[in-house]
Amino acid sequence: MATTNVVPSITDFEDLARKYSMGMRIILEGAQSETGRTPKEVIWTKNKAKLYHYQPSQEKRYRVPILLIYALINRAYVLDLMPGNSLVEHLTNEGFDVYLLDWGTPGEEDKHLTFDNYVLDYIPRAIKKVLKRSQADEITLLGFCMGGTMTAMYASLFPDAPLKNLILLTAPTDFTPETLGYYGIMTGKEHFNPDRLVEAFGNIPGELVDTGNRIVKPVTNYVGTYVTMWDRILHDKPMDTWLAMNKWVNDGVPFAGDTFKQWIREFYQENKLVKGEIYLRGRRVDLSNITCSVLNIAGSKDHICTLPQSEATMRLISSQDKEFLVLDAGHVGLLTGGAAKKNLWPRMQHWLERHSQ
Amino acid sequence: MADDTSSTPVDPLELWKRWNETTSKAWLNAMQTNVQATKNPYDLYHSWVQKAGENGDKGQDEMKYNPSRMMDPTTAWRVWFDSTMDIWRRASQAGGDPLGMTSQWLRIMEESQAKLLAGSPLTIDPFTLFKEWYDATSEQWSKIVEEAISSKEFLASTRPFMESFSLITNVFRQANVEYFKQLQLPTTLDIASVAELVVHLEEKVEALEDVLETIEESTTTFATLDALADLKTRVEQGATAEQLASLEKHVEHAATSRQLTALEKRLEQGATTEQFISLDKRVSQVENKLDTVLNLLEKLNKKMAEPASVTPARAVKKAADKPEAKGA
Repeated sequence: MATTNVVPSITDFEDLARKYSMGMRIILEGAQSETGRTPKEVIWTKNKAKLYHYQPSQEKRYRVPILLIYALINRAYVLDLMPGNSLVEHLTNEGFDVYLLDWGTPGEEDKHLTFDNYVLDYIPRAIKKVLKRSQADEITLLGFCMGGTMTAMYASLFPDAPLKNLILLTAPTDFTPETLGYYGIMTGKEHFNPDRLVEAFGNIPGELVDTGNRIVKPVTNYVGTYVTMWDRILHDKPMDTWLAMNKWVNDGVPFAGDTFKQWIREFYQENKLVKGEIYLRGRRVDLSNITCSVLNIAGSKDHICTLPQSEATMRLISSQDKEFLVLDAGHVGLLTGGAAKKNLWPRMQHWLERHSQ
Repeated sequence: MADDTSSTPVDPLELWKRWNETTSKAWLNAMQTNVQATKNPYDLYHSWVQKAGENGDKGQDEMKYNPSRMMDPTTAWRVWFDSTMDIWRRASQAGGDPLGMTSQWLRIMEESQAKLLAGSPLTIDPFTLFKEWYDATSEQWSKIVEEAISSKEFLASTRPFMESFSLITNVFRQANVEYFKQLQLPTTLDIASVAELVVHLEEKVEALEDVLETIEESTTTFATLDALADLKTRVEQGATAEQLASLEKHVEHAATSRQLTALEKRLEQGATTEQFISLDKRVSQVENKLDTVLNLLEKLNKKMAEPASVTPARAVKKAADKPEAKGA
């Protein structure tokens, strides 16, 4: 772009037109990016879910395998965004044996699935398969966002499971309205009835979930994102990371109807988890049953899972070996991008090295 | 313009002048011919247009007599601020701003003006100017918008909106289902119900796999010679592992995505509801058969868990007594 008083040439206009067209294509068609590229093998499937084993031919230096569990409203690639910017790739390159449970996309026939199914059927089976495949006796579970809440519930329901470590990455457990920020106001009982939406849609469309997440920071998400995009395009800055991250935030999956109701009612509106009032198939979820080593990570700028929401876990669990790590990042920036490479990845890696022998 | 510039490069300054002249004058004429009609509620709009016109004239004069000064970004910004802030001031004074957005915006503008004009020399690149403005104001804007969407008025309106939105979506959905029924075509719900059966089948196969794995584990870990001999006989009498694996394969094949795609294709080609019901029945039958196999295996598994009481000699005899059971 011109920065002086010189009259722009035709070439400048052509260049501007090309950049304008590129930007408009992104706005109209959505960000296109090839994500989830770390080599992997599917070792088990259940309904729409798939269990991946990453870089199986890579040499493993640590005996305890890691199983990654992400949120039901995301895609699996959020943990394997793109080469050079992927937590999965980083861990496998460092010699860890990494597995990931991809939830897939629920169909109309899955609208009755609940956390009972995910926590009591999917996660235990996946753990069994990982242990069999890796021929290990113990496992590390790493849960991201809602996936962290689910792994915490699993750990409390199966205190005798071969669970060596639990890593919770921006995982909310406390849903006290005062800690929730705008989510608390938006999902309040007096304003929001999840039953109506489920009656209408069956599964809650991904776009609706994405909108709900974006509206918490409307100016940043609806204007700021595109200001950054035009800035990068017009000033010839690399677009890869922006495209991948934008794809992530606009690529939500449908939320199984009954799980959505459970999530809003029992977690957001009634805050049952910290009270020990969540029951999955009649089994009480008591977080004080968790005794394994725990690394709990939160972002100080995270508005999707606020700091107090994840901090509460520390006082609820019974683990002797537990650490709470707060990083100066938001929900997405914590996991990917330059800051994650400098902060999250090396710190998590060092913790895992000490706990994976 | 075409006459003058056909053989020379386009002068963007000239283009801008022409555009400004044409549009601002056109708007002014339109508004002035109908002043009475625009008193209220378009008074603000009218004044904006008028101001834009005056400003356009001012800008054109500036460009005519001192183009380099006009292209100085600081001057350009000052002119822009002077004209637009006056409009916002008037709007703020005119009332009709229940959320206080206009007065907030005015405050932001004043702060931005001070911030931008006190800084280093500005660039002519319009996007960079906009980005600087965005960076200077976005935090305040965010605060205002977040306060607005957290207000009681806004939240009170969300529930009825969501309810009516859900209701309309539901009505359309129901209407579509009825329409498809009339046409004797399967709906999404019909396909979902078959898919649900396939999911149930898969669960049963998985349960079978579980039982087999348990058998495998228990035989490799705890089985004594007695129990092994007895197990051999029992498995031979019932289903062999090979057969079970083949059964599992069959069931898995039944639910491959290729077949599901073929099913979908057939449905698209016009499968009727009757055909669909027949398919549904067939899947149910397979499911029942699997239930039977599963029960048998569970019984077998339970028996295996009991302490072994047969001697090797007895077991071998038992196996020898019933050779016809092989391959059952």
